[in-house]
Amino acid sequence: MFRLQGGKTLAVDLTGDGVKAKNGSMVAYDGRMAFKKMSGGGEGIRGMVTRRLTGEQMTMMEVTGQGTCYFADRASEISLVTLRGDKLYVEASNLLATDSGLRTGTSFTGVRGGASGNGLFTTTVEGTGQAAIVSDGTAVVLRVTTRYPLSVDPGAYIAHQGNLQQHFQSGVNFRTLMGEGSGESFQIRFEGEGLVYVQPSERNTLGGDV
Amino acid sequence: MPFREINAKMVEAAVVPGQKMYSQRGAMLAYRGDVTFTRTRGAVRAAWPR
Repeated sequence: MFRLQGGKTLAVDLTGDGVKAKNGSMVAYDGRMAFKKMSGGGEGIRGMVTRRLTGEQMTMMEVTGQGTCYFADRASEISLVTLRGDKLYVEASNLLATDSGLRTGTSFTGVRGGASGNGLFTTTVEGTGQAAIVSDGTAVVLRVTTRYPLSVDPGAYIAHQGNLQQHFQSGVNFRTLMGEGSGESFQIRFEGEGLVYVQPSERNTLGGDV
Repeated sequence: MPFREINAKMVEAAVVPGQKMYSQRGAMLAYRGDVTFTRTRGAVRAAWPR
């Protein structure tokens, strides 16, 4: 149902079913389509309250119809993620589209979220189906195993899935305080079994230059 | 120091115990293993001014 066209455009074939996509990300379509605004953080009143409390603002739209709809986001690279009953954690700004059958919500990330510059909460996508995420440059998928934990720059992190525990780790020392930091003083450490999506570019983050 | 090109925008470097490697400050995206990062000055910094 989801297919990439050139890495920066997502084509979704619809046969009367629907797809959820970032608001305003449609660039073209053929056939008959209807666009309806939605909001992230989950559906219904619970979702509305969650959005108010968490500040995780992800404005999305539901697209239904018959034909092919094309999506893109400022020429960002797009990666497809297949979910088989598991959960994807993704920064709201990096989520482009999901199958309409996938559930979206929010999850508390604490210090990690604050450090990555995306607030204390992140977006979750759960169920069985496909999702499309965007990145600044082609993202790589790095596998985490129990034997090989992974540390990621908070500004380069975009998403993860699987059974992963994440910890915020800091390498701040005396040199950092004297303005002689390496520029790599903060990382997110992932342990367990799963996949982490990393982009070849770094957002502005808290402490990103120390 | 072996480098591996992951794609046109990322490179992977294997850091060998006891050896150092140099990169532009802040360029690390992710790593596995026991790695430390130290700011350097001198010729390397002159080559990659920030």
